[in-house]
Amino acid sequence: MGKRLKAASAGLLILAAVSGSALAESDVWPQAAQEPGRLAVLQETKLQLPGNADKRKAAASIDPASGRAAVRAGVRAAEGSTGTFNAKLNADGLNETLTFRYTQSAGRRVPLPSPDLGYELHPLPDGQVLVEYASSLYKLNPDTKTLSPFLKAQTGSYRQGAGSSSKMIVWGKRASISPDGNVLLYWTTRSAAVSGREDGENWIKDLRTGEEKKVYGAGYTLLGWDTKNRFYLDLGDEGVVQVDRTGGSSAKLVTGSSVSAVSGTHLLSQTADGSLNLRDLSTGRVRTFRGGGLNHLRAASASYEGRYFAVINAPDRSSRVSTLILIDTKTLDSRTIAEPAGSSILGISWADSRHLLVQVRNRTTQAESTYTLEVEGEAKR
Amino acid sequence: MNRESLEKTAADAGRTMEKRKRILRGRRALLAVCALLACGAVSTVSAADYGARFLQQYGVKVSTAPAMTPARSDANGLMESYAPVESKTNQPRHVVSGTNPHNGADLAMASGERVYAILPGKVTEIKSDLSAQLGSVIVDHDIDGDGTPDGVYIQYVHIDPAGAGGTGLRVGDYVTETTVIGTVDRAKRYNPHLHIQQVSQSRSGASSSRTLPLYTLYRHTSSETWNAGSDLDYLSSDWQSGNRLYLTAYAATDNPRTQRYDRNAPAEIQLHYKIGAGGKWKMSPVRFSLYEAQTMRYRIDLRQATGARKGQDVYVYAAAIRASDPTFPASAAYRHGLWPQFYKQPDRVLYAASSARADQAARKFTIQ
Repeated sequence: MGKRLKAASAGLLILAAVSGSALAESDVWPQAAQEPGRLAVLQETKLQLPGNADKRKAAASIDPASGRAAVRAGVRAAEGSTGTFNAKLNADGLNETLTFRYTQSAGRRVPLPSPDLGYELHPLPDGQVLVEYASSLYKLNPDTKTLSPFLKAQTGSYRQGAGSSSKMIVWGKRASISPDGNVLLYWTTRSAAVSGREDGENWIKDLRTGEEKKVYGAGYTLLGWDTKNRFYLDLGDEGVVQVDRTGGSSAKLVTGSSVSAVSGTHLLSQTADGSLNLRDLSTGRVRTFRGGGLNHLRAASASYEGRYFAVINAPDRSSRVSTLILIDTKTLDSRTIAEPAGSSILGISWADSRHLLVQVRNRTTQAESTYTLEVEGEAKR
Repeated sequence: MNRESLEKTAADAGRTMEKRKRILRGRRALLAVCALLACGAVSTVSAADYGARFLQQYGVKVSTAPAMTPARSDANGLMESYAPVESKTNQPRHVVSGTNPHNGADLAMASGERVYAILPGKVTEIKSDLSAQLGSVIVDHDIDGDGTPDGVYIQYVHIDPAGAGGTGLRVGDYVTETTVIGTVDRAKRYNPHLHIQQVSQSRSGASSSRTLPLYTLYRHTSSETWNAGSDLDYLSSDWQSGNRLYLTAYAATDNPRTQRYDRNAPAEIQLHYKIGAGGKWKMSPVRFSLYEAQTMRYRIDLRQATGARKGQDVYVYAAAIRASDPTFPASAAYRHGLWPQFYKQPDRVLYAASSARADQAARKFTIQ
């Protein structure tokens, strides 16, 4: 995937040291690869996400009498063909057939995340896939097309389907695998049957031993994992915490609300307009970045292995105008890039450690496209 | 009425609505409605009356804009996540507190889960009183992506607005689809969830504020997820073909017995009607029948149901009676949702005391 992306992208970005209020450049876009639609790369598979045009086609295809749509706005493989297969789920009182999309890669069937089909997918290290469906997690073997329960039906005093609660119980969802592939982090409300509290808890499952236990007491959004296999939760106004997956000990690294992102080595966070902090997750050293026209972050993104962060910056909070700022975590060199002429930046994500995907929408035609920017590590001062 | 004439009628109704919006929202809203009509929106008609809190949008072909979901499954906010629907707009409920029928849709999102703007737009109101999970944000959305808000207001309720305070979200901020506007509040009074509601005004609380259906923002969604947006509205997607009137109708609820989110068919859908402007209101002995089970689509033959002759005008409204389910017991006193939509527990028989309410609620059809 990395080679393909590199071949497709011509916009090589060399970060320059920030000097005061740098003006945003816009000459990078004509040199960058541009592809139609909204693209993202997940687990090395390049995906075409349903965009505005796909959704309009699906809406227009509805038969007014039956309400059925002839066209589906779904995820598909951006390269190669997209096929489907069915798998039966006979567990936990379910007797259903689920449809999965897949593409072929290196002779293997790779299921594609397809939220429009009613579930979430998470690849496992063994090539199989976790399926979040009906408030629990199931294991899909794409080769045998079989689905089976993945979480223990009883952990400690909690038993799945005990029926003792008048509230629905989420047994497991919001799954994430640690970078070393040894641990599954998931969220559950199983304790609500006892406590009546529905805020949920973070649990882990040791994929080597099968042991499951609670590691942190609340829900919240997973920002990501670091190279030491600690995970980071965005608690909203209560800050960002780092959680040790083994002992469950936690440390608050950011106080108060922030716009944050985590790579394997750094935590980026903005708590005040005009600056942002970069924390080295190994040493704990925090450096502050200013300049480059930085004002208010609308979004931030990091690749797991990359040394660069990308942020969508609002020079004026009340204006639709955004700039894209790329920041080198080692040197704090940066580059500020204006939006493509006539277009607005919708979102950003990393294809790999060096390739940034920038989704944009033309403000006149509403056409959506994705640029691939290659970010060079040799920063120039 | 064939499709062409229906669309002409719809266009006429749309022009009436444009006039209203011009008063309510100014010039930008007018442009938005023009854009809606150009995109195939059928019509939008006010059902304002004695205590109405809903502003009806009609049509199976109406699509305001293909919005993103407010929940996402990745930290970049790019992967949409279809949170199950616990309760729909205009759905009768059995609740101690809260609106009835429901004044918005409840999405089963987790405490602390990020809430994203469903379209770009400008923040017009932030409420940060979190004592009873009533923190909320209203965004005036930019439905055509041209950078200018279009007067389509969405209120996100039971959330902790992002960064309440000096550096957090502010009124006047422009947000994009990948901007976090808040997080789902923890359980205090209700279970954690996102209440999402389309409202007619940029600020909440005014008695003149109305609720609009949500399905027009999610017409692209699949039957496995939000069923062309109909998971978000108790009654939606009306369509007329010849003398047949079609509606999508069902309740959405969480089912603690099965641990599933259910789509529950109504016990029955009644048709109330009068023939001619001076006619007498009555309930038809004929009920809507299920036409398409997968999409929960119902239909009724207006000529057969009313006995009207070709060329006669019939005025109708429908009452969908919610069936009992684990969260809606047989003892529930208030069981019906109306199409066109009304609010504040309107009488199912709107003409019991006077025909005025039914006259205001009804839609007119000409029998073919």
